[in-house]
Amino acid sequence: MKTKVYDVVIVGAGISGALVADQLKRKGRSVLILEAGLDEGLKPSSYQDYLEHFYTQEVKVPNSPYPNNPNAPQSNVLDIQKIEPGKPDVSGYYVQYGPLPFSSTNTRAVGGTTLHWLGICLRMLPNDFRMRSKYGYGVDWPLKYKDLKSYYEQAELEIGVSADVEDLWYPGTNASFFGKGYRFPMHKIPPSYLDQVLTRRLKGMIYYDQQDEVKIDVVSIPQGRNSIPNKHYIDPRTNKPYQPVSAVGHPHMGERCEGNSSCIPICPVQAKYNALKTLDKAVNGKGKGRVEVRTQCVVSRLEIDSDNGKIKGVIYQHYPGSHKERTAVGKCYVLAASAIENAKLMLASGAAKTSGQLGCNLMDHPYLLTWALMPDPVGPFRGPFSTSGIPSFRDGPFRKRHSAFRTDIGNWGWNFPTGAPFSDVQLMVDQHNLFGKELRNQLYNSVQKQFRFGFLIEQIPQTSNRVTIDPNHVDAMGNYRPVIYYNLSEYELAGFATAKSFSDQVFQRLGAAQFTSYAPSDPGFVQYEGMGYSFHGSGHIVGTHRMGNHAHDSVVSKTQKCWDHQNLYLVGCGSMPTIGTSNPTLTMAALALQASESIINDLR
Amino acid sequence: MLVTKMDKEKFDNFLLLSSKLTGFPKLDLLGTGLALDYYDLVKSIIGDTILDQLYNAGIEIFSKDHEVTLEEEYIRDKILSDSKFGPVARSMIKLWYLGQWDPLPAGWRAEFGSHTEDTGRIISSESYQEGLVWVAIAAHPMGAKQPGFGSWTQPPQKDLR
Amino acid sequence: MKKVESPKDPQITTLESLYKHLQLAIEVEHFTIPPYLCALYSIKDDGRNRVAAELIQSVVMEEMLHMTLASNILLAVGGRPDLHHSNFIPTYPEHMPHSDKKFKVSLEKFSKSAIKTFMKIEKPETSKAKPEAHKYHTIAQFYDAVLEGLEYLCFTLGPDKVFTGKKHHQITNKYYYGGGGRVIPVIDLKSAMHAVEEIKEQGEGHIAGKSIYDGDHKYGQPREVAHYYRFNEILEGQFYAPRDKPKKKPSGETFKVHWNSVYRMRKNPKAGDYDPGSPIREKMDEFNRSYTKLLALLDKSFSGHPSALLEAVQLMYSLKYKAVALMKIPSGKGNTTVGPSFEFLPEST
Repeated sequence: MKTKVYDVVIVGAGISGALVADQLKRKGRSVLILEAGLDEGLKPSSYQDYLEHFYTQEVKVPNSPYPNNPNAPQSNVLDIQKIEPGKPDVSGYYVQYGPLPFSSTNTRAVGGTTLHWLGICLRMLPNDFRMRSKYGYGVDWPLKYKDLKSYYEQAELEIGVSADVEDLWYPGTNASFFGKGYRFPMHKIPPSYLDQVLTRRLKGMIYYDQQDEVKIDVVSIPQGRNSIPNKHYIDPRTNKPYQPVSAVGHPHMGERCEGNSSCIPICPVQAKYNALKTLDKAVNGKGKGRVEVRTQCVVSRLEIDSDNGKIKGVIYQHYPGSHKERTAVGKCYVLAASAIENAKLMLASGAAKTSGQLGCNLMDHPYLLTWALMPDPVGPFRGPFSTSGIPSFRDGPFRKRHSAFRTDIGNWGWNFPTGAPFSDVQLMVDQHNLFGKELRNQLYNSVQKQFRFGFLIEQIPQTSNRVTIDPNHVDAMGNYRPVIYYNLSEYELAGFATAKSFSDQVFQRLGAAQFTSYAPSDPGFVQYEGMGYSFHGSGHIVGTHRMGNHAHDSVVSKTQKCWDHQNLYLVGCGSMPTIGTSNPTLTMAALALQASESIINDLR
Repeated sequence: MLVTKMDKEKFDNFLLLSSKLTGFPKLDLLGTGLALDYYDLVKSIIGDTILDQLYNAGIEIFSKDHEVTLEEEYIRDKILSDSKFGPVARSMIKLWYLGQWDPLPAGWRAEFGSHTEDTGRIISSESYQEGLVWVAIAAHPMGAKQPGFGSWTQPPQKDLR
Repeated sequence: MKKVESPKDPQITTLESLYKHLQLAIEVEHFTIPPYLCALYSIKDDGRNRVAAELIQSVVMEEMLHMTLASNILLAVGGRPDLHHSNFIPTYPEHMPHSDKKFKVSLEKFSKSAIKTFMKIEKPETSKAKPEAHKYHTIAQFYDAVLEGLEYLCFTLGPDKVFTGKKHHQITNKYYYGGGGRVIPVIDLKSAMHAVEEIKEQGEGHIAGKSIYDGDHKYGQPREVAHYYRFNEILEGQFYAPRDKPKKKPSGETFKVHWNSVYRMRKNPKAGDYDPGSPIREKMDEFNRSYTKLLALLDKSFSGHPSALLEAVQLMYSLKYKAVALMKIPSGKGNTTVGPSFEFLPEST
C-alpha cells in the first residue's frame, strides 16, 4: 500500500497543534495529527468521565481527572519530592537530577494541557522581548512586541478571551499596547468580591523597591473563558457579532462561566477554552475530512534525510497491539507536543545539533504563595481561580536586580497552599477536637476569611536547566523519559524576597493575620539571605528549543522553523527565549498562528 | 434496604447520632441522599455491635432536649474521648463533611477488629459533591453545583441553602 | 420579507386581546416547566440515565427560551409580562391553560406515564389544524392565532402603532445564556414571526408532523429533533436516525433507560400536607419561597430590567439543588420522597 503523503504531519493534539491544523485546513491543506493519548474528551460522554474521575480523587491536582496512561505517561505533581544530591528522583515520569525539582506537569491526551490550564490570557509586555538589551539578563527575542501584536489579536479571537481594554493597565506600556479601538470578543469576567475588597483597600498603595517607587494596582485579568459577548466586537471570520463557543457536543453548555470553581483541573461545562474546541472545528467544521486525528500513536523519533537535513517521516507506534513501528509522511512536519516532549523527540532523533541549545533553557514561573486570614469573610471558593491580579511588578527598573513577577489574587482560599477546605476539616476534627454546630461555625469563620497571593516569578534562561535523554530511563513502550536538570538562580531568589516583602506589607495594610510558612521539608524549599521560601510549579513549561536570529545560538527561527531542518517546525512554549510574567499560552497561540502563515507559504 | 422495623430504628439512631456529631439537622443529612449508604458503610466497617454501643453511649442525652453545653460535654465525655467510640465518631464526621472515609487508627483496629472496607477513599462522586463542608463554608463543591455566572461578585452569604 | 397581508379570519383583533394572549403564552410555556423539572430532578445522579436526563434538560431549557421569547414579543408590542402573582403557578394536577382540557398534567417522578403525558403536551399539529386562540388542541395552533393577530393588527393599525415597546427592555444574549438556543430580540413583525417560528419548531418540528427536526439548524445550530420526538426517544430508548420519519419509530443508536434509577417522588405534593413548623414543611416552604422569588426576579427582568436575569439564573441553580435534596428526603408516606411542590409563597408570609 502506498503511504499517504499529507501536506503536514503534526505531532500533538494540544492547542498549538489544533490551531496550526485549523489554519491549514482553512487553506485547503491536508493534515494528520498524531496524538499519543487516548481519544477521550472529543466525545461529550468521555469528557463527563473525566469529571466523574476527578470527583473521586482524594487529592485534586491538575492531572487528577486525566488518568495516567502507561503508554503515554505524564508527570503528576504528586510525584514531586525533594531530590537527594547525586541521586535522581525516578518516582514519577520525569527523571529529576535537580538540584531542585521541576514541578510543572502537562497532560498527554487529546486537548493537551489546555484540559487543565487555568485560562489566563495575558500578552507579554514590550520589555519582555528585550531583556538582555534593557536589563542585562537572559536574551532578546528575534521579535518585538509589535511584530506579535496582530497574532495576539487573532489568538484572543481563536481562544475567545474576555476582558475590557479600558480596565487593563500594565507597567511599561502605553495606549498603543492594545491600540485605539481594540476590543476583546467578550466583556471581562466580573471581579470577585475579594477583588473588590482588595481594590478598595490597596487604593493608592506605593511599595518602595529600594529606590524604585512601585504603584500598586488591582487589575482584572483577561481570561479564555466565556463571558458576556461584546456586541461591538465583529468576528472577522464571519462578519457577525462574536458568539461564545460552547462545550464540544453540547451546543448550549458553557456559553458562560458558571462559577464552578474548578478551572484547574477541569471546567465541568467547558466555559473555559480548551483545545478540544479548536480540534472539533478543525475536524468536524467546514472542510470536513481535511484534518485527521489519529490517537494512541506515540511518536518515537523523526527520520532525517542525511543529504539535506530534511525530515522524511515521523516514526510512531500504535497501542494496544504489536507496537510495530509505522511511518507518517508529510511535506512539512510540526512538533507540537509540549516543550519537554518536543525536546525529547528531537534529541531521540539526533536532530538540531548545530546550536547546542536543544533541550536547554528550561524555564517555569516558580510560584510562591503567601497566605493570611482576613479580618472579615471574603467569600472564597466561588468563581474562577483568579479574576484579578496586581501587575505592578511585571516591569520596572528593578528587573536589573531581581525577577519581575505577576501577583495572582486567589479566589479559592487556601486551597493551593494548604489543601483547604479539606485540610481544615481534618485539622478541626482531629486536632482541634471540634464537632457539631461548633465545628460548622468554626469552619465558616476560618475558611471564609482565607486569602492568598500567588507570585509568578520570571525565571531567566540558563543552559544548565535542561531536558535530556538517557537510554537507562525509558517508559513502557521503550520511549525515552525526560531527564531533567533544574535549578534557580540568585536573580529569581531575590524576586522571591521582594514578593514576600511586598506581601507582608499588604497583609499589614489589610490587617490580615499572616499564616505563610515554608518548611525545609517542602520539595521546593530554597534559602536566600537567611530566609526560607518554598516554590511550586506554575505548569508553564518553557524554553528547550528557543527561537533566535542565528542557527548557532538558537534552535528555531522567529517563525519557529528549525534552522537545521527546513521542513520542520517546532511550535509551542519551547520556542520562547524568555518567559516574562505572562502565563504563556496566549503567546504560544500567537506564535502558532504566526508559524501557520509561514507553513502555508512554504507549501505554496 | 431497610426491611424490618428494627432496621429502621437503627438507621434512625445512626441519623440522630450523625446529626449531633455534624451539627446538621437530620433532614439535611437525608437531603444528601447518602444517609443509607453511609449507615451501611459504617456498619460494615465497625460491625453492628459497636455501632449499637456507640449510639447507646449517647442515648441518655439524645433521648430528650438538654441545654447545649450539657449535651456537648456529655458527647465529649462518653463518645469523643472514648478510645473505642472517639475514632469512629471522628471518621463519621469526616465522612459526612468530606464524603471520604478516613481509616481508623491502627491501634483501634488491633483492639476492635479490622475490616476490608476500612480504607481511605472518596466514597463516590456523589459523596464528594454532597460533602457538608461546602454548606458549612457557604460555598459549593469545587467542580459541581455551579452557582451561575457572576455569583462570585456578591458578598459572602452566611448559608447558601 | 413577505408583504403583510391581513389574515382572513383572525381571532385576535385588538391590542388588549393580543396582550392577554401573549401573557397566556408565557403562562403556557411556564406551565410545562415544573412538571419537566420534577421528572428531571427525580433522576438519580448515578450516570445511568445520563442520556434521558440530558434530553429532558434540553427540552426544559428550550421551554425557558420560549417563555423568554413570548415575553420579548409582549414587550415589543408595548405590553408587560406579569409573572409574580398567585395565579401564575398552576395547581397541579392541572389542564394546560386555555386548552381543550383533554388531559391533566401532574408533578411526578420520571416514569413512562410521565413521558407519555409530556408527549401529549408537545404533540405536533396536524397539517389541517387551524389557528386556535381558545381551546386549542396543540400549542402551535395557539401561536398561529397569536401570529395572525399580530399580522392583522399590523395591517389595520400599522406596525408603528403595534411595536411600541422599548428596545432596551428586550432580553438579548447579553444576560440570557445557555438556555436552549439563541434568544431573539423582537423589534418588528419580522423578528416576532422569527421568534414564534423558533418556539413552534423547537416544540413540534420544522414542518410540523412532516419532519422530526426542529428548525434550529437554519440559525447555525446543530440539528436536534423536536420535543415530542425527544420524549419519544426516551420512551423507546433509541435516538432517531437522520432520515427517520415522524410516524415511524426511531431507528438510530440505542441507549438504556433505567426507569427505576429514580427517586420516588410523591405525586403532586403540597406544603399543606405537612404541619406548619414541621421540618419537612419548612424545607418545602423554603423551596417555595425561593421559587416565588425567582418568578419575581423574572418578572423584573421581563419588565425593563433585563440585568436582573443574571441573579435569576443564579437562583435557578440554587433552586435546583434544593429540589434535588427534596427528592431524596423520605416523605413519611409509604416509600415515597417529598419532592418540590412549586407553590406561590411570597417572602413576607
